[in-house]
Amino acid sequence: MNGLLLAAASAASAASKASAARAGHPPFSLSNTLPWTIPVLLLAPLIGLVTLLLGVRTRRATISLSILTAFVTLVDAVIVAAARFGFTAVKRATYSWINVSIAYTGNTRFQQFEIDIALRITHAVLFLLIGLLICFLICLASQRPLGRNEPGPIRSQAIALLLLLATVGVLVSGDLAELLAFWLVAGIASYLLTGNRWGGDAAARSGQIALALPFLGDIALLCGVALLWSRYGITDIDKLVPMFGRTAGVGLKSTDAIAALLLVAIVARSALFPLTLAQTAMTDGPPAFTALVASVWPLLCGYLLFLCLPLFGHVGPQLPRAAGWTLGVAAVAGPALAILILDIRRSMLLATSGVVALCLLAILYPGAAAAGLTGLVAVSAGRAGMLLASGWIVSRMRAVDPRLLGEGLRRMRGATIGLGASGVGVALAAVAASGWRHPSLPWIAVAVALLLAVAVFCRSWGAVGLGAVPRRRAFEPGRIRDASQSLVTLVLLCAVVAVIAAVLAFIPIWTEWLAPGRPAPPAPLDQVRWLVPPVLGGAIGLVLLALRRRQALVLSARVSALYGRAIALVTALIQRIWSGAMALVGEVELRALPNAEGELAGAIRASGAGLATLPLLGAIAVIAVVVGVVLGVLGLGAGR
Amino acid sequence: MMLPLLQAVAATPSPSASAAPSSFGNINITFSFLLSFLTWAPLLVAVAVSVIPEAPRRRATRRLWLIVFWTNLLLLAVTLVIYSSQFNIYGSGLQFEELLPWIPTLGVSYHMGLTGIGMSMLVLSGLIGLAATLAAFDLQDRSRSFYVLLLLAQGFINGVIGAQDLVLLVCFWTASMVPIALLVGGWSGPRRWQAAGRLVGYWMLGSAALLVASLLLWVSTGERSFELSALGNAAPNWRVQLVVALLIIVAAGSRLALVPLHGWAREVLAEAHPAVAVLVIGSGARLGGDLLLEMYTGLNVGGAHLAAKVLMVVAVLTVVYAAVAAFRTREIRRLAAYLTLIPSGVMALGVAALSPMAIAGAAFSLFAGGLAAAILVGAAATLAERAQSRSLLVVMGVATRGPRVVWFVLAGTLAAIGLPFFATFPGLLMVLFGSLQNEPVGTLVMAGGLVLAAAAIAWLLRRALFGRPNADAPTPSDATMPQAWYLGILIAVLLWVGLVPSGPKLAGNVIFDPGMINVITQETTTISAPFVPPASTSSSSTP
Repeated sequence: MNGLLLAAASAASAASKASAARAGHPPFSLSNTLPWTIPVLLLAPLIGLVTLLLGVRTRRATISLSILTAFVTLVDAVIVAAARFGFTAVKRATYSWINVSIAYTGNTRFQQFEIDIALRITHAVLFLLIGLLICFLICLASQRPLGRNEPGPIRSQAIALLLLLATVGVLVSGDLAELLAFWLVAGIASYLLTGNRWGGDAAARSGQIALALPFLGDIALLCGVALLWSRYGITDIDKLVPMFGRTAGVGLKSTDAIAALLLVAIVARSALFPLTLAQTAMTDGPPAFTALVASVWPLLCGYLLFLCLPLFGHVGPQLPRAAGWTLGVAAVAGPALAILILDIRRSMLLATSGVVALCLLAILYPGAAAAGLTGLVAVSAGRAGMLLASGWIVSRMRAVDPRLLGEGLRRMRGATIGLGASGVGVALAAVAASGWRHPSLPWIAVAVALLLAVAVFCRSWGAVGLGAVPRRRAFEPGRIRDASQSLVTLVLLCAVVAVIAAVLAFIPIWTEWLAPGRPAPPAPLDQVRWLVPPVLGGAIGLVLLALRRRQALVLSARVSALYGRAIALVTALIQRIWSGAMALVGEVELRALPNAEGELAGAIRASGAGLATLPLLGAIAVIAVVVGVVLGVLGLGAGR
Repeated sequence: MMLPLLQAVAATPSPSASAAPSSFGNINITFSFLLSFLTWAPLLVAVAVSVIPEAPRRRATRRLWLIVFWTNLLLLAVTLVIYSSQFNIYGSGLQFEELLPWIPTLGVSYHMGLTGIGMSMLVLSGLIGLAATLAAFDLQDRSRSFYVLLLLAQGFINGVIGAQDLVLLVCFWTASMVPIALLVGGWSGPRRWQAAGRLVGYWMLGSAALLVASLLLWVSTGERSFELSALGNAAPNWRVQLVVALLIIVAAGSRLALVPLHGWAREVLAEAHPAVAVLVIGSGARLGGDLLLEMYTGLNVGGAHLAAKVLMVVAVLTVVYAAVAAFRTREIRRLAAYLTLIPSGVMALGVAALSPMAIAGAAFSLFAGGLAAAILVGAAATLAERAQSRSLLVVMGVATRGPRVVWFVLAGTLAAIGLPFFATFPGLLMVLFGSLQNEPVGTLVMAGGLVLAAAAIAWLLRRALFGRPNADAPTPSDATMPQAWYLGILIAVLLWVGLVPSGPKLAGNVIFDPGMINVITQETTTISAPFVPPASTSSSSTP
């Protein structure tokens, strides 16, 4: 807050300087705007949020204000990007938040506790910021057609703006403690957004999972940052980087532990396998907000991984390998699970979780980081488009099961095409993220992931767009209507952004600009080779659906039932362990503690009874001594 | 009007008892009597309230409430003005000191003084006092007795905060228990007398432990002085140090409700009138934390080292146990009672870690945790009252009918686990940062406990607030205006301190709030000095 006040003051003074300079007609330079445009990145969402809370009271006005806020922030980000386009150095604006002395002696690293609101601008930050703000704009704008009957419009828009503030804060943070704070706020805002439908069991359940499960990752991040401070004494990323590997007393064990904790945070918040439930459970929430949350978190997680890459350069040899395996398994397992799920929204989220894992994997490997980041923007935009389109389709068809869907290309052409176009963007992103590695044996797993992800997507799209709608009771296919023009436009915009971002990842000049100084890109032929698995996957998915639609989906349902049984077994095991802990606590609460309290009370009673059995003279003597002591003490005091 | 009064009560913030005289009209005041004012004024008002002539029932109740309200507002205003402008954050040692001999033959004196932690505790006490008064706005039943006891409890709590003599501290410590126990036993829930009995049992155990620890320390000094500063110079053998440390853990743990000494908390916080519950957990229980910081780390450095593992286990156990127990319970107020143990556990972990950062974090958590716990307990009591049931099997989906209650419960629960924007976040951050230096395993286990607590909170929110309303339950209503005011004030302060822990500054200058963190570290740097690891072990960085 203090930092923000200072930021506001500096922004105002910079603005006045700029206007003064204008009066003297100096040559205009965008760089001169940076002193106020950088703080405005955070101030704009904050002012929007406060304005909304203080005075806006209608649904239409709140949505307009949120869109305006996101738009102003986007314009500001574009101005900053234009100003910093030719500069590779990090641009920082720092405002003190906490700065206290905690010791005057001992190790100099641990004498001061300092957290700054540091706004750190790099090319990667600006690109992610613009991608994020476009996703925000699209999702907030789609709330107009999609959220007509949503409860609490003011509340939900206020929370969306809080999420905007927090996510922008995460991206521009130059201090890991500051990043953590914004990260946690973004987590809470996501929870509140996805559980916005108060009074409904499904939304409440999804909200419960959205709060509890990713919190595991948040706490891991908290512990990681805390461990980092406990070893290096600072959390400022630019000051930390030169200290990695050069600080006495900080060994591989510590850096490994920090990196592992950060990795847990990334896996949990991007809802990768085995923590996919955090996002797949929220599909019952409002479609626009579900899309928003699902598109925002991969970007934040990718940025965190990118920010901490220098740390990963100083860990032991096992950790990158473990991280690679974790993300590799998540990349394959997500889409593989998606085959079993007979809910198109969930299966799309699972399939795209595999692509997110591929992009994160790319960030982890030298040379591919920029492609991975660009791919993540594509996945985020594509995901948003897919969820918005599928949200509409599911609400119109009144079914989530692909067996009950169909004729999308005839009855909901706009939404179905939008869904397909977004999927193409996501698939291209997957190729872009993978294409920066030469095909080798371990990367067969990546190819499998690619194939599966695209196959699942094509299956879902084919189920929606092709074939006939099965007859159901109280369902009239003739009454299905396509999404409004505005929604179709927004979905197609998502697809366009996804495709552009994915194509950018193939361009070496772009990746060099995004992450300067990284190794040279692979040959174009290698990149083209990676197109084979998704094309193959798409063909398998569509052909299988076209030839054996019913059998393929029934088989999925059967395997899904088996998977459900396995999950139930695991759940039962966890519940057994958990009920053991509960029983232990119950034992303590209901027996042990009351017994101990009873014993204590009994001892007191016994001592009283013992006193009563003393001979009268003895009792009088004891009482006299006690009274004497008390009076004596009081008398001494009173005498003064 | 406030300035002459302040000049009178806070003549000097100097670190010595023989301060330079200041003037109040024609009277020269040779020492501050701020702490005596904050301690004895509520007691005098309590006496006055008890002798005010009877009036028609409703008018009398409102008049009594207004007296108590204005008294609390005055106390808080004085405390805030002292905090913002009189307290010297750059000085070290005691400020606003008062020293009068009491029993010289035994070395007992009426010695009051204020440190950074004490200042934060006084602000907390003032806020909680005001919140408790607002929470008691609708009280009709035996209101005179209630307000008298409320004021007595507040006065004694302020006495404990200011006391710098161990006998004085023990006196106030034990005395504070009496009005609180009567408040618990006299008003509200059906099991209130059992709750009061438990409170007396646990707190008396703590008082006895404190008394024995005090006597052991006194004996080992070889001097006739109960001054805390003098007792800090004692150098008993390691066995005595260990015993003293363990006794202080028992004394502090019984107040802070650390597991396994938490038996009173689940009963009292579930049964007592909301005003009493807020007072007990907001400031009464925090005295335990104050004791840990002042006596455990401040006076008994060797013992603190010896018993650190014990305290660490207790702290970790408290957080994990509270989270699991919160899952188990089916009563809203009881669940909130368990969740209030989490800030206590975090604070205790900070003390157990014995690093300067962790100790500073513990002191900050003491303040922030008190506010968070009070909000949580108050919000849960409000929810139970407005939903006309305490049972989580009955209270479901209140959110659609009582949006204000929702935000209060949400703020209380999220603050309890230390989420950003709340003051508990910097505290948790500092405790974890510092604890990982010395106690990595315990800290990570405690972090796991926080995840469990989040799961318990998620379950509570789903069940009681956001889920489908229970058609068979009585129709819930939203929080009343006094409830909204007292919870709103506490949340606002928690947010303010969380957003600007170092105080708001314009061009590098403090505007009106010196920053709670600066006030607290004024003392913690001194307390934690013996625990600073030597520079030679891991200091220099090699190029």
